[in-house]
Amino acid sequence: MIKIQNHGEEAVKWIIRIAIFAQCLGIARLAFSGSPFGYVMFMEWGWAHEATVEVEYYLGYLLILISISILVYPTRIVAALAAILFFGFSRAAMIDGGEPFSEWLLASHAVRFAAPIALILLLTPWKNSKDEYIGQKTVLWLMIGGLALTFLAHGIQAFLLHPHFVDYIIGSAQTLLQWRVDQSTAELLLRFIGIVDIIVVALLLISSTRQYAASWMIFWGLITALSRMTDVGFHAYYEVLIRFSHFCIPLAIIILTMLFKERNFAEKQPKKAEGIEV
Amino acid sequence: MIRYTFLFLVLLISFSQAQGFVQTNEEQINEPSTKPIHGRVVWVEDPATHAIISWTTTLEGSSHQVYYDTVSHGGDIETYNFQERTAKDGKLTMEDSDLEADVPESFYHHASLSNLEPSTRYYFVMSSDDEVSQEYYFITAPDDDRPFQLLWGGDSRLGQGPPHKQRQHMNRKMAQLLEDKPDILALAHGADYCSRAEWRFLYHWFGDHEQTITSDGRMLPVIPSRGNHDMHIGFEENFWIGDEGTLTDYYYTTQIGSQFALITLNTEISMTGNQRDWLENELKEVSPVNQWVMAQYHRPGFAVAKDFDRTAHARVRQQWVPLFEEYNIDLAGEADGHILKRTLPIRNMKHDPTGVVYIGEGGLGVPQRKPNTDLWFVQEPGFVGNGHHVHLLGISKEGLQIRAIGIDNEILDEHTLKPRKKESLKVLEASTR
Repeated sequence: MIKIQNHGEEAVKWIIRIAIFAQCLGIARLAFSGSPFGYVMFMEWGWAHEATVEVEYYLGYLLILISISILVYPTRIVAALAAILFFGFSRAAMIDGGEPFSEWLLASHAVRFAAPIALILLLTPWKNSKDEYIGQKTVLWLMIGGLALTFLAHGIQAFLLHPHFVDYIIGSAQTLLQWRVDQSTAELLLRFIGIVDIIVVALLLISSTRQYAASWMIFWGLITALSRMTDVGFHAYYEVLIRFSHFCIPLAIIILTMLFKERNFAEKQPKKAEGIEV
Repeated sequence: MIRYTFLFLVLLISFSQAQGFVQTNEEQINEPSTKPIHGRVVWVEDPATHAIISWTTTLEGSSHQVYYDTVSHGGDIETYNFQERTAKDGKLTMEDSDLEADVPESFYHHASLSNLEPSTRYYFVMSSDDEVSQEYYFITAPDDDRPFQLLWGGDSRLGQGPPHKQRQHMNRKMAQLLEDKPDILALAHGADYCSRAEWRFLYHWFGDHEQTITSDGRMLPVIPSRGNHDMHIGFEENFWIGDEGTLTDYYYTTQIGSQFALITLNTEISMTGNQRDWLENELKEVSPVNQWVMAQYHRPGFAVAKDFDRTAHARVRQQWVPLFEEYNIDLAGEADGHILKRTLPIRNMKHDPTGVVYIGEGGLGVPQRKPNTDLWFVQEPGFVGNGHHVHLLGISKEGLQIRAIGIDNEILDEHTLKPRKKESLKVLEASTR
């Protein structure tokens, strides 16, 4: 049982590491070509454009180093750096504005910076099994909270007919099916998607339905991430990389939830045995 | 460890609350009154016969109207032949940041003047209760094929607070151009007026816009488009252009004279849905009957400063550019990048003399970026650079002259488009003889 537990925890760590790795590369790609970091430095802080480009390049390289480190030799400091940069990225995008619902970005991106914080906790050497249990529970709820916020924000935005989402539907249908969806159909579909997202968030918060909700979120997180590419083409790959957490974290939640179930089961076994002996 | 993680989270949240960018208004805010301020003229679809006059008051007032005539009456409201009550009034939305920035609570007023005479000077005053503005005038667009000039530019925002010296400088430059070249009719704005369409920013924008008024009181009508930094409700409150059809979504066609159609598109709503269908239908209608067709919109399809592959840019290229090429528009004005460009004529993503030329990227006061000079579509005889600028477009039967005028009056770029041969125009001309 301990072996399964260890394998399970390792799997969770690896899934989160892959999500962070991909996110770092996605944001690095943006940093090299102009990201919210640069916009804030240039427009809000009044820096010279050349200076912002230079700083963004350094940030891009830093993100690549972090991504490599997260895969090869993850440490809590590196994960904390990733969390700060992801959070800074979202905050900068929020300050810059200029996108629909940009005031909601901290919620929309919550799962993206929840991932490295979860990794910090998973990399922590706990003193005893009780602390470890609390740590893992915290990881689970951190991921659930982050994922729920992200899906809820996206769900409400879909229900409110986010114009980019309308275009993802029309663009993807055109690319994949050669089918021209009219805007009213796309909007009807979006309302439905929005409601589904909100329901799935509610199901995620209930322990008995969490596995099913998270399973749907893996599928839907992947589809919606890929829709960035199916809409306009492969060159939008970085948009998919940035959204790896949207489908990796639900997978991590499923595994971690299973681990807790197994642990509870394992803890109950000796008691039962004792009961038989009595 | 839980404790440290908690501390880490608290630090992150504290950072999220950090506001280092609140504007402060150094100007003295006057006592609230119904005195009309921020007067402006907005053109929409048919500027030969229609214009919107808009203004602001800092008290609500109860009676708002425009008095106007084709002769000057020096502001004596009893003597104007025409009067129009406002079509739309309301209180401007104030965010907490607006209140902190110390801009006054204000009210918007929009009057829609119809049945105007083409190519005619209209003198007007704005009146709110007992307060009357000074007299201004504007000139309506022609309805024939006489030559005229048009200003086109975008991006007049700054991230930081007022005063926006470069924007003010550009506005004075435009007023000077209007005085020197009276055949300039209007300013088509490629959008991003402020960092956010919130009152603490727009209040100063409209204040600065008054500097485009000439010394004899001529106002420069604005043909507005909507950009990614104009998405708050303040834009709709201040740039009301009508409640019908596509106007509420800020895409429409402005017919100036008989040979020039300006199609304003909105890159901030769905580009692939209704707007694309509308664009196709509109191009089918206007392209055969106009010698010149221009489009203006905010986010560039051929981005020079920002990422060429960004989704919004790619979407312009995939959804709109094929229609531009199919219906042979002549020119597209793009903003957002904060540089100055004129592309090679482009068709099928290649340099093609029969293609469409894309100008702009915004220089009405916004800080300028360093452009990517390696991109194929801005190589000579195309142009790329930076510097505050406005485009002066000279439109006549013989050609469409494009001049980028710099902040110190220097001509930064100059190019002339030759008219396309359009069989439909010959047929039309023959039938109207």
